[in-house]
Amino acid sequence: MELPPGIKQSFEHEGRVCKLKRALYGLKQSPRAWFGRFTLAMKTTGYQQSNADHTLFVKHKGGKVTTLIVYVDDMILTGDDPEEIRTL
Amino acid sequence: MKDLGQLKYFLGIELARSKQGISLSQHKYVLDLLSETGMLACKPVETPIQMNHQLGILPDQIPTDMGRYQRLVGKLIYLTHTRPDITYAVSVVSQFIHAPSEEHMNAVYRILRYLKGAPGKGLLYVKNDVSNIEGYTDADWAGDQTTRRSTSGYLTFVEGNLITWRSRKQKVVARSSAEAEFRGMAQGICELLWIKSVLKDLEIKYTNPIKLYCDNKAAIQIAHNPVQHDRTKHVEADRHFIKEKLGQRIICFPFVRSASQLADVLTKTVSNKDFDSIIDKLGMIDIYALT
Repeated sequence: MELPPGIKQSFEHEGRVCKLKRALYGLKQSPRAWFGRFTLAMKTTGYQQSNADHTLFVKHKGGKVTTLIVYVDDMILTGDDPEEIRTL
Repeated sequence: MKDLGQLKYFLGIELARSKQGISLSQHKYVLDLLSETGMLACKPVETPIQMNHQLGILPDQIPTDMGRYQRLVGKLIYLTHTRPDITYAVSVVSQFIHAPSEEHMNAVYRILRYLKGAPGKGLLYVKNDVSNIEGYTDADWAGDQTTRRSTSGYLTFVEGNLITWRSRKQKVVARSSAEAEFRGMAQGICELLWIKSVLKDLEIKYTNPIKLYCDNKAAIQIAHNPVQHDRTKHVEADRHFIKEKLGQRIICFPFVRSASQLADVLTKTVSNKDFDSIIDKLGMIDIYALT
């Protein structure tokens, strides 16, 4: 998290810092923070982030495959493993 | 988060399933666009762009409403997600968004009139026995009237279904048609390699070399035998790149006769008859058309 420009100098002079508990709505960095959190959540559920397209997540289980693709806040979940799709 | 069930509508793209396969279209988007522009009752045309159009930026052109032009072109660009048939025409009109003239606006209207002819046209994905990745590349030579740059385009197919396509004016001037084609090939290879890597993540692997169809024998020759040559030394990076992929047997370049070159519709204007036949081969159908 970075301080917004302008606020930065005055804070650094006085040696003060801001502590945010989480990324706030409307901040420049929040989309990225959201996506980072989302990626982490997907990874802990066993999905792998594709190197070819970072918005594509893939999970292989028992020869079956489930994929999730993200566009901003729209997602498509598809695959040949209905059980996995239901549980996610 | 909300589960919206079976996928039917995503980012303005309609998806329909049938016994034939899965189809993607932007039917509603086209109709909205036509009604917004007051073109719902216009007379349809067969092709999105006039044969041998000479569009360029002229010093004595009559300027048109720039904001309107830019908005229209932007909307058409979004439409190319399911419409490879208008990709070339849209790439032409989008080259003038900084200085549009009446003539350019008429070219945009022509695209709208073409859309009116088949608003529900979209891509059909069918299951078949083909098991490979293939591509087509093509380039025109010095097609740009103002800068004499060439346009190249590619189409990629996975298991016989069209996946990605692009029509793009090249960044530099090519001194020969083979050179233009050659640059196009390098671009096509990049796209095919990317598709291969996406499929690899899905654990779908194809071992045979990817076929990239090309209709320029000279470019194929240069790819196979990249000797240092006065007329080719300035395309050195592309040459080495292509040779490397050929050497690893990742890719091969079968020759295709111009008549069966599908990528033609991405780089030049084609006659009504050829246009229809190519569009059919791309797997485009109008699911709303009464048969």
